[in-house]
Amino acid sequence: MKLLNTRALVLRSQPLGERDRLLSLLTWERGKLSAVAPGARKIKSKLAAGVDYFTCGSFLLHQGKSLYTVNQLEIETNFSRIGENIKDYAYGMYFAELAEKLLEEGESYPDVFDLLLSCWGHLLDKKADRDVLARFFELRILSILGYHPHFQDCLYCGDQLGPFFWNYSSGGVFCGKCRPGEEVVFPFSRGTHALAVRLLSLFPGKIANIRAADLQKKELQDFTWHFLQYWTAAGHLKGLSFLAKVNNSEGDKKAGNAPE
Amino acid sequence: MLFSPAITRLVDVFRRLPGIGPKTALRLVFFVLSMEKEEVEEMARALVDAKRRVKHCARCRNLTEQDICSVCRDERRDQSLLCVVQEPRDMMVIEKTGQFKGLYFILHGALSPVEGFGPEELKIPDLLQLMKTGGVKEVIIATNPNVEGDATAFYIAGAARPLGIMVSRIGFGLPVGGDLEYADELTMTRALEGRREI
Ligand SMILES: [Zn+2]
Ligand SMILES: [Zn+2]
Repeated sequence: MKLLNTRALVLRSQPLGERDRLLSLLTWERGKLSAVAPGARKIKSKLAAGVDYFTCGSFLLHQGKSLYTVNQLEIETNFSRIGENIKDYAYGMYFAELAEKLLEEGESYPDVFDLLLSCWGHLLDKKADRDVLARFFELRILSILGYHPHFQDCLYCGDQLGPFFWNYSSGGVFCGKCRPGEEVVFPFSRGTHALAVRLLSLFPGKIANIRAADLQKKELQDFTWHFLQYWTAAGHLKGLSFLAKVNNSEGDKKAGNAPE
Repeated sequence: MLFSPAITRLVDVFRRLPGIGPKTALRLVFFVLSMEKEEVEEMARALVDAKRRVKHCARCRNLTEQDICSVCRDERRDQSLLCVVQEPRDMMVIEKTGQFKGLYFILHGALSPVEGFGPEELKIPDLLQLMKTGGVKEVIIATNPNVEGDATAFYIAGAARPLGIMVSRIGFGLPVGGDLEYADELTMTRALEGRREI
């Protein structure tokens, strides 16, 4: 019998039939893998609490032909209180979704494991600006996986002063002189540039100290979201659609269209 | 091809049902084919008929054939007490306990990026409208005791608080992570009794 004892983060947890749950786990040793948690839909299941979203646990897995099965688990950290704020919830789920979509099976990603663990932790203790944290997560997972967005200087001439711009296919920023003639380009202001450079090299523990203006957050978000779409196979990101829905319904409230 | 086009088509139809894989679908198809013609016609009619008649109650979104369901029309029920559940079957579990005499609101899901359910999809604005104008004094949130159910509960509680409505969450006796539809009556009764304000 092949057993694997590993730390793991729950990336996805879906009902499977009437009794079980199907998990996507990010394990320390073997990276991303799929596992069945037998009986975890039952209200009295011993596994149920540990196979939900926002969990870091120590899992004993049995390796079957196509899937692993959860034999036992012990919860190490439960981040479920992230769900107490709807935007933290949206971002926490988005981080897991991004990891689940960008990682290949059969390869280990200890750096992504640590990144996700620390970002869930930051969502939970609420000291970091959640939008800045989200950009940090995106830039760092991209760079760990080898899609290193180029911010240091102009992609074409090495100009370091800016102002900089980017377009869908640039993979980084370029200066005003090197800007391609006919194409649509987007601004990347000096403050945004400084923020992006900082986030790429920041020690995760320092993220709570970073503040950014709305314009910077918006410009960097536009960049990372388009970068993800153009350069990776992430495809439609449900976490981002959900965030937009939440923001919309908040907008309705402010406009007086909905009760509160 | 091993089976006729009609059989293949029916297998595909059955496979759209939850929890039905290709083998089970094929078994169901063989069973249907072994039934009397009248029985099969009755079955098909029942499907279409149910789909045509059943809709969401305009007040609580329970499944009903009327505009307002029989629970909402029952005058003996306490209008000031509202229980929010994810699914109609969760409401049935609570009804079976006989412990709850208020009215319900059924979300038909939980706030979930994975399912694509935001506040609008769950008709949470309608729920808030009901809290504002329906004489509701206390709301008990009985969503599933897992991350998605909790996030939904906190979101609703946050929106209800400014309305001066007391909001509680069922809890005691419910372990974390499972689905409410599998709770027995005793567990559910204790969960209702052990609700806590959030
Ligand atoms: Zn240049
Ligand atoms: Zn009703």
